[in-house]
Amino acid sequence: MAILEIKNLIVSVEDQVILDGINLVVRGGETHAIMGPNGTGKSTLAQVIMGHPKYHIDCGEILLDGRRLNEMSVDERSRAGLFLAMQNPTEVPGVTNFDFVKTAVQAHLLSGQHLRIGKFILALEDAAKELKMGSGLAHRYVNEGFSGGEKKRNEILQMKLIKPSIAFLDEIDSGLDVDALRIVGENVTAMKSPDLGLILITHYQRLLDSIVPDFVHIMIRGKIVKTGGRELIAKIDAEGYDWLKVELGIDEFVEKKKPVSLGTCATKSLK
Amino acid sequence: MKIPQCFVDKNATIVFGKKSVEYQGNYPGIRITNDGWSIQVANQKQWKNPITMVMKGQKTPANLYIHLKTGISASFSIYYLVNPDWANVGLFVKLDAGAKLTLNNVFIGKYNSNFMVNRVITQADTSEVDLSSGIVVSGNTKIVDHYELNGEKSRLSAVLLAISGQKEIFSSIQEVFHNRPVSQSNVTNLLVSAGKSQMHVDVTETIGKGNFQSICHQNNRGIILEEKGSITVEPKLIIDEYDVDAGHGCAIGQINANELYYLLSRGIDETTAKRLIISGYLTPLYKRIDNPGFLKILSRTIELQMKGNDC
Repeated sequence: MAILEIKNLIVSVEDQVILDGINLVVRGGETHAIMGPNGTGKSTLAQVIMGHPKYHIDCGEILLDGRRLNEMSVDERSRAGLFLAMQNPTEVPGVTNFDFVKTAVQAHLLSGQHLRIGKFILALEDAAKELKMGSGLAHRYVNEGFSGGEKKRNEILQMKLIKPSIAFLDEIDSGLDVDALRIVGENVTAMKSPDLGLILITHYQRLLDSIVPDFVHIMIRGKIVKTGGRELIAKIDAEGYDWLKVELGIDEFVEKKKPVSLGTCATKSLK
Repeated sequence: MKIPQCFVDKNATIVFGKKSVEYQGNYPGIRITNDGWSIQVANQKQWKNPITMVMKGQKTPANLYIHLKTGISASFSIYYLVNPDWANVGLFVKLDAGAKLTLNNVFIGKYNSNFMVNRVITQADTSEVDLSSGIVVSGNTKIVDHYELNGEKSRLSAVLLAISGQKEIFSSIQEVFHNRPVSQSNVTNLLVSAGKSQMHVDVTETIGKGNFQSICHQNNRGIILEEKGSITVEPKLIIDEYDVDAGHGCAIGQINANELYYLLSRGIDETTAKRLIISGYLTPLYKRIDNPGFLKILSRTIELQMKGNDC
């Protein structure tokens, strides 16, 4: 059973702290939901765990099955078992989905193992069928010309084939219509097992109706300020985050504004 | 240079040897000239299928003259197997009214000093040229292209893909002249600089006075794989007519960081990820090559070139 441990994680960008002491443990078989207002660091957390080069960890530790990820490159983290279904999946022109997914699956094989191409093609076709992605997917260029819903389903397709042990799904529900949300929900729920720990980042209850979480965390200003069960989802859906102001004694959620120097004007002294 | 196995189909391939045509299938109208060969295509029936031509290395000037007579449609893939003792080569194409040519032109191999290619394409009324070129040559390379749109409603589409490795210098001069009204050109250059190579492309498109409703566009894209490589592009439009549609664009940079991150996040190591992204970049050229054997040779050569080895 996989275990992801995030210990006192502090991350800043240009002197501004964006993750402020995150502590979280996700075990295989568990589903966690992270909710929170816009700009509170939810997606940043997922990107930092994945190793996005834009972010630098000031303090803290990320462990996957006891292995420290902090110094690992992005691809090493993926091969260690992490997966991030991205909020805005990148288009890769000219590279077919088939070549991309095949290379990714190959990269996850242990040394000495070889990809059986026939088996892979069948698995790809099955996954595409289960996600109702239609034929021709394999020969389309990665995410190019895909609708918003297709892009998100393509992320889940990759996840099904790569079989990670810990997966972050970052706003996988955005851009999905009701039917597509149901399909994604069914597929992700079908993947739930003791071998997979899930972290869902979302704003809406509707995703959590289809993929039911065991834990719900609320993030504000780079911190997990509250953790609870499913009851939190309904409360947030009905009342937003204002009630937390009172409960946690937070005056306002407005972003801290840093003073900005507008420079100095050239002056001319008149005699 | 030995002819690769993929070109052994003697019925579908014309092979130009050192001094003679080694085999030409059933294709008529090939003549040996003082400085190369000349092909005149006048009968549609005899030239209806796509034809592969292979140019082996020559010491003497190796010019190829192709003339498509009125209304002829033809599709040629011309592969130059460049070798170290090759002299300059030339490709001169003339299209009469209504002729249509799809031309894939690939240069592959190794040259010791400066390899030079001259290409001239002249088009009459309503003729169409769809040209796709690939240059993967070890050694300094210069290619000079001269396109004359001498016919009304003539149309040219030219895509050039060049990959330079090691310390090579690649330069390309492209001139497009719109000499008649309602003529149309679209020029695309895709450049990949690996190692310490320097690439320079100079594109000039000219629409003269009176050549109204002409359209000319050019698009240049370059990827620099290593810090010491360089790509410079000079896109130019010289327009002397109001009623035209013209534009140019150029984008040069390193591999797109978002694309790279996306591939890495799926466990693909950096070298493989970069190779995959570049292969996507090369897709427009690959898609045009219908000979699977040659495609394998080309992709292997490109891989070697990008690793800094000789082709």
